[in-house]
Amino acid sequence: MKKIWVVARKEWVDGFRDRRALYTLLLGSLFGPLMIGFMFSQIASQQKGAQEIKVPVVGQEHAPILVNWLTQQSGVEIVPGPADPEAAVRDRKVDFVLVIEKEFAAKFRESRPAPVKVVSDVTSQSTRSKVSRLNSMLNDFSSETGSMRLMARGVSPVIVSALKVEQLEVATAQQRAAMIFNFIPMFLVLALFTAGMPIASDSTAGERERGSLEPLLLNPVPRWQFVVGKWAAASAAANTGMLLTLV
Amino acid sequence: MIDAQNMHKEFGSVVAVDQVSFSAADGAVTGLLGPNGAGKTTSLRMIYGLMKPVGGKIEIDGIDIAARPLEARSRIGVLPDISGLYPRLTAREHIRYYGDLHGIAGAELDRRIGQLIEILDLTSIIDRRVAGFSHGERTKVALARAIVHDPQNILLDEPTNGLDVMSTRAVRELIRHLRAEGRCVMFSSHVMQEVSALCDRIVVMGRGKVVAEGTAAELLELTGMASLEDAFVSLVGLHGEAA
Repeated sequence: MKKIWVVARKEWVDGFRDRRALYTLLLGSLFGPLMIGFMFSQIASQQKGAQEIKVPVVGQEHAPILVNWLTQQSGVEIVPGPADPEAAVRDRKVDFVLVIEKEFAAKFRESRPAPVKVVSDVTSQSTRSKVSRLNSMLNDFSSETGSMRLMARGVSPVIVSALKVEQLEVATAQQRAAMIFNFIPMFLVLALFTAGMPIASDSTAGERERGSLEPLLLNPVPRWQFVVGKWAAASAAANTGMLLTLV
Repeated sequence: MIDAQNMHKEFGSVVAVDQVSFSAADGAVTGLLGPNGAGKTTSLRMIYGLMKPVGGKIEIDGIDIAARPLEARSRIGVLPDISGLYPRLTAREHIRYYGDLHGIAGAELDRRIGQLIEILDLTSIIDRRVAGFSHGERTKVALARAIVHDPQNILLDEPTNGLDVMSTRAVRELIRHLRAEGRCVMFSSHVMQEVSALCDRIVVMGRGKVVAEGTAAELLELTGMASLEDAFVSLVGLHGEAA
């Protein structure tokens, strides 16, 4: 039984002197935490990015009332839009463009739906939250204006809302952030594999390749003890990798 | 004392070792001489129990290797044809590892390692990693590792293959030293000088069979040749034609 320990200790020492095995162990176990850190910072910067937005507007002159209203919203800056909004968004020169159509003024005056366009690119991850902020501001403007129009006609704006839906979210902000931690088991499995693999392969296939298996098996030790010893060394390395990930 | 009776081994349709019998006595060096592919390594492998013979009986100091392999193995030290060292371990760690596997512990192991360092002149390389070693240095480490448990029987598979003069002398010195201690040394070779310089008895193999057996003088007498090399060629050659 002591021989198992002898074999395991030797494989462990041998494995740790192998730079490649060591780097794989470290990289494998740090991959998960780094990935999670990256995702966190990415989400944080996106949310921060949506608080202060620059809105390029084409055709400001058609709708001074909308432009004024937008300017009053916190963190919003109106800038002149590019000449060709679609090309500019496609080439990622700007994140998105708000286009106010020519007939806006006339339709708005007649209390008919006044056309505006939001030009955006759904494949661009970083702009998504900004676009959704713009859309929700436009909705606010629309319903505010609508309510005022109803009131001007002596109708309570309440009657257009048949339902009053309230979303009751019980998860705290921390809990929502913690959804990312669902990935942790996956990273642990990954760390287990990458950390244990070099020692496992080196102490079995490697031993055979080097020709050191033959003299090793000549020692008066039952073969199963070699197997258990090597297995113990490899799984110890795998567990080290996993623990590193957890820490 | 190694005693092999009617060892037989086939790989598919090829008969590698054909009903081979020989014995190697204590206090003597027995040479296994034969051309490449004569079945020397296969015979040695069966003796140290890594390969199961199809037929025959092999005894190490009276212990049947097939019946009690662990006991028999602790009585033999083997230098295989490839040294098979671990590049990232030091020479000392190699010897210690095998010592541990043989169940030698603590002070006894340290004493034994000290002895081996002296016999094989390992002082300058003992705590260096094996990765940068020359062929001669590797062979020395493999030898030290093979005899760390003080075995009564020592099997060497072409021990001086590719060694320079100094290393060859060191290995010869060790073999003589082991013989003087009354051990049973058996080594395989295809180098005539090696065999004639060291061996008390020579077993000549060709095409999986024992062609002749005896001292160098007896072999010369048998073939009527003046040199051992001529004797060897005539033994192996004649047999080859007959087969």
